[in-house]
Amino acid sequence: MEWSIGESGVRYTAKLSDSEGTLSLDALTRDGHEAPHSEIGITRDSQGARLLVDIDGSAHIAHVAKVGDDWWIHINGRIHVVHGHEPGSADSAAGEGGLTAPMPGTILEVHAKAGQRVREGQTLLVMEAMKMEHRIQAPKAGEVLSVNFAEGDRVDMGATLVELGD
Amino acid sequence: MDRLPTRVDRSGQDWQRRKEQNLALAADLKERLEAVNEGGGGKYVERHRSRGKMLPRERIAEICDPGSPFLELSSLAANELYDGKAQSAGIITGIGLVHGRECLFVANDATVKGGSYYPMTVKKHIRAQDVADANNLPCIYLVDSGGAFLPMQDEVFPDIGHFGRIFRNQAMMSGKGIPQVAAVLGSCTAGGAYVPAMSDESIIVKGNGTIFLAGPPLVKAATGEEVSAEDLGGADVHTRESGVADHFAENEEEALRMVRNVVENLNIEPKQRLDVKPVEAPAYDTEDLMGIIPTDNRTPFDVREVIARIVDGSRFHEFKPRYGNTLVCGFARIHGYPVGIVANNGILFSESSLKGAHFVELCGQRGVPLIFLQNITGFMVGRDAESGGIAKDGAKLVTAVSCVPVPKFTVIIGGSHGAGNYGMCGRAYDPRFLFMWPNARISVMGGPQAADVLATVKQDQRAREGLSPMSGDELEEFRRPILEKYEMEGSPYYSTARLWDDGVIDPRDTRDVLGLAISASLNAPFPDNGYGVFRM
Amino acid sequence: MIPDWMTSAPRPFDTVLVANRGEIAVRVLRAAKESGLRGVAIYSDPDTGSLHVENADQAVHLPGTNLADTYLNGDAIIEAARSTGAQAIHPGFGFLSERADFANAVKAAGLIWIGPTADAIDTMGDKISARRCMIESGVPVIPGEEISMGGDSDHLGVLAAAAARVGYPLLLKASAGGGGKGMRAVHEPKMLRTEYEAAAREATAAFGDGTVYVERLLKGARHVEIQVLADSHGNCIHLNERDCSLQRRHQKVIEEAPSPAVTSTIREAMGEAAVQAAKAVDYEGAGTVEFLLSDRGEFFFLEMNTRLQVEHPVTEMITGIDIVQKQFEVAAGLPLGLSQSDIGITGHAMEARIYAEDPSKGFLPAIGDLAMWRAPAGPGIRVDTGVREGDAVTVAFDPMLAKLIVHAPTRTAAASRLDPALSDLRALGVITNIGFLRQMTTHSDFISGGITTDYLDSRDISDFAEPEPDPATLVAIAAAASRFGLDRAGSGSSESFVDEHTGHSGDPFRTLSRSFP
Repeated sequence: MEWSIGESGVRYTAKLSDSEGTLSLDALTRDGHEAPHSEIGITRDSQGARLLVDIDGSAHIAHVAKVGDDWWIHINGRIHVVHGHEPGSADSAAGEGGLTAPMPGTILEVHAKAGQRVREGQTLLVMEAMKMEHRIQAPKAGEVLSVNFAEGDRVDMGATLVELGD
Repeated sequence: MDRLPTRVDRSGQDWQRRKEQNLALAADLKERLEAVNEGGGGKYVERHRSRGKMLPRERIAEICDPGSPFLELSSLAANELYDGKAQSAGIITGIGLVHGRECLFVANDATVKGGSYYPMTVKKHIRAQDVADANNLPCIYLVDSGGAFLPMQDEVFPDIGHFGRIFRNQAMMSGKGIPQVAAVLGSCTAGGAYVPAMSDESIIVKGNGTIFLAGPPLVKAATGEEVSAEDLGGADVHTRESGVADHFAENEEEALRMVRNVVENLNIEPKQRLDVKPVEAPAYDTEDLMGIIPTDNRTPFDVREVIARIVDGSRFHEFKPRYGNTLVCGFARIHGYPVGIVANNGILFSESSLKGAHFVELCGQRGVPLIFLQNITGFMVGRDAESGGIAKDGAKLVTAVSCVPVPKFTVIIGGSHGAGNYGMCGRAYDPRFLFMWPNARISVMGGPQAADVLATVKQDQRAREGLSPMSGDELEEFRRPILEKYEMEGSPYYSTARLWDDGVIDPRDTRDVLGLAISASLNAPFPDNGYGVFRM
Repeated sequence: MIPDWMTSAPRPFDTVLVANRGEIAVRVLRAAKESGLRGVAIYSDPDTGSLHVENADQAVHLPGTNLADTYLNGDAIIEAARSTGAQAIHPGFGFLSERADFANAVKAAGLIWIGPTADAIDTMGDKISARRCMIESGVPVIPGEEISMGGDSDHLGVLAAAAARVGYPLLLKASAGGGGKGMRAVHEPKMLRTEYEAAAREATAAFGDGTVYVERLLKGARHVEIQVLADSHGNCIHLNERDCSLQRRHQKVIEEAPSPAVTSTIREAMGEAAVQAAKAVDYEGAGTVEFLLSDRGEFFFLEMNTRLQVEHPVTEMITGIDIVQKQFEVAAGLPLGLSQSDIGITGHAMEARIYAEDPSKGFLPAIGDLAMWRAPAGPGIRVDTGVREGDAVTVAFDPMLAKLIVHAPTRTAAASRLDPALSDLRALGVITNIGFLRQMTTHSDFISGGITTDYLDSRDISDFAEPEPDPATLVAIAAAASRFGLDRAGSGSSESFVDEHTGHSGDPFRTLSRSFP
């Protein structure tokens, strides 16, 4: 199983060994390369969603919850999301260069058309969702391959709004 | 096990169009189900309630463990038959949980023609008993019926699959140790009197419940004796004098509670054990099915997208993925149970048939229940196919499917035509349960193909008679009634009305319905498998 | 049964319907219970089984998928009150709380409206009439004017002319807008067109009114508001100020009371002006008069909110007055029973609004299931929330999940109490602004008390990004949690029960609950 943290695309793997119920981190890889790490030992607490985490000899408590493929972790007052990547699963189903709707809503304005060259950060679409307008901007410069919606269209979360090529 | 990837385009126009149509089909199904929910409805229900009686589904719910699911079978039986007046064929059947044990319910609906037995009522009752027999489920009969529907006596009385079979089944099941329990909540006249009489343990409710071979009018006609129904065959008589029933209930609530008490003491064996795993929801939204199922059964789609929305974690271990790829076979889990899935992904060729036969044998050897997702227009035809021996390769698949000793479950998710229906475990191959999606179509061949075949026959005939061949409007006029007939008879509602299946289900419920069906099937121990696996 | 405290009231009632949902509905329903009143909730489909329904003595389902069918459906709400025997309706905030026609309809139905008169709502709800009224009463106002945007082809010209008179930078507001909706800042003339179009569209989409109001944007000002309480006997007092200067696109982020920028002289003057404003419209009940406070100590009337305010708890903490209870008393026709000299300030209170939103993605609202929701507790910590563990956060409603309020003897102590409390809030399964709030409230600019309303909008949000976590720890925890099978056990629950008969804890006959087909 590979892991990534938050929005970062870096992939990690962890090798754990079990000694009388404590799982110790033996090795960590970062994008396939061995990476340095602290001495980490993890024990299960009697409470279902709680783990005792020993980091370089100091004790911490982590609360965890699994939602889909993600582990939500609360530790030291911070909340983190660690995504699990299953072997065989298709990553970023939206495909290359696709810009997807961040949430269900309505398209208000279309500022791009197929074949047009756009610069990074240029507003391609404006959609309304929850009280506010959201601008869908080009993440990189490139050519618009297709615009899949028109003004007034309702879109579902994850719908590919614009295909962007190089 | 690896997760299936998904490649659906949720933003495409096709997706929207499919979604619209499938949601409309699901809404239509819901509407039909709601329409039969009230039984005979109106004054019939009012009169029924005024006697302190509950509707059959309420009675079942009262007996079942609170908050447990109920898997109703063939809710739309007799749909549009008998002038549309026999809602659910006047009998409610299904599987529910009583004291943690799955039981098979058969409950007459007295608001539908007094609970009398139409031909489809008999067929549904017997189908329910077959389900109980195959899956080793205790039978609970909630009796409230005037017996056979006399105007159609020729279709309900004499034959092997008619009324008499019900009592024979009770005796045979009792003999196999499948408990038979009856609660008499209304009249049990004539033939109906045998249901409680043939049961292992029976309950009768004061006032409403009566059991007799002939009612007061018939007695008066035959012997001149004048007697009230209560005195002739009421609860008191049968629990104190005749011994026809065992337990006396003051009212309906008490009778239903007594059913629970009876089931509590049945001493039911633990279910067949499978190597279960903790349940995982599919990784992809079940709702996606509505955008995946094509608007036209002829449009191909990757059946793995369907599998990914039915199985645990969308995980699928595909068998022989590079061979005979018009049939997708593989292992997965549904609600934690291991299953083998056989799903059409195109027409059946020799290779796909051989692969299917091999996989089915494998499941038999491992004791893994089989799920067939049927969407098949048939086996490949033509010179190449015939000379390649498709008939014998198809026969291998049919043989494997027929003989495999594990429970089989079939869902018709698209077309079901020709011998494909057989190879994919159609009704005749005794799947424990068979369900249809609202978009499904079932017929010996597709309507257009049938019209073509019949038109060719007709043209040949005309040629022999020296007539000119039909063309244009004339040909269309010839084809139209054939197309219409196939369209009507191919409908899942036409099928479910005639008990060719166990119900039409919302595609989004497939996973849960299959889970319940598998769970119920495990009440019957698996028989041994005698042969090794033949590599095909 | 009418509670004892109300028996002598002119308009007694024993049942109150709360025409709202979420956190505020919970707050009002609990207050009702504490006051010995029966509480009736209304709910739409997505809210079946939600916390506010649980806190009600009775709940009425409003069918339909649009807000117009449910929480904005005045007729259905009045009918719900009738059918449940509720004699009074509390609107909470948002939804119908500032709709004069609804207030009138409630009264016309013979029910008690827990809020000011429809006239007061009308006058204050329209920015032009509110302004005129304030000028007449001698309350200072900001330079500005209103333009009606009919089908006129040259409406942009009209707007530009007005904008020039008012002066840049300016604020464009839809007359009927609120809560940041339909409100746009225009810093220079060339941006006028774009911003106007966006504002008009937002306002039309939500409120069906294309009227626009232009006013001078005071840079470097603070948002300070005064809570007022008035009864039907002519008594009107204020409960001191709240400072809501920490805002993002006109949505408040942190509120506190008292304001670090308000001296007792300003407080007295501002309080007096607020009372004057309330009296000018014969105000009844709880209301808030918002002011902009310039760095030179001048203040200008911004608007009056004729309802309970989201941030009312901070005032409750420093004054010890239960504002919702006071609303009930006033609605029943009782006198306030308080005079201005009874109102003091004890300590300092701060409120952090917990939103389901992603600060790293432009504060985009987030959705999901709250797999874990554990709120902090302890001395001086109050959490007003409308959600609980397991609830779904959907796009159907406002993304505010909860308000975390702290109270301590001093501002420094309150700030030191807020950060650990935020750290202890374990909200897993839905992205929230908790991390951002922690960065914000520990930032030296906040600690020093010098925040102005334009602060956040002029800063790069990445300045408040959380510290990078140690990937090894997180990956090890995720891997260990998977290995321990914590994903199977379900959060918080121990091993599921396996019965002998099935040998499978996941047997669908045990885990499913609905009937099929």
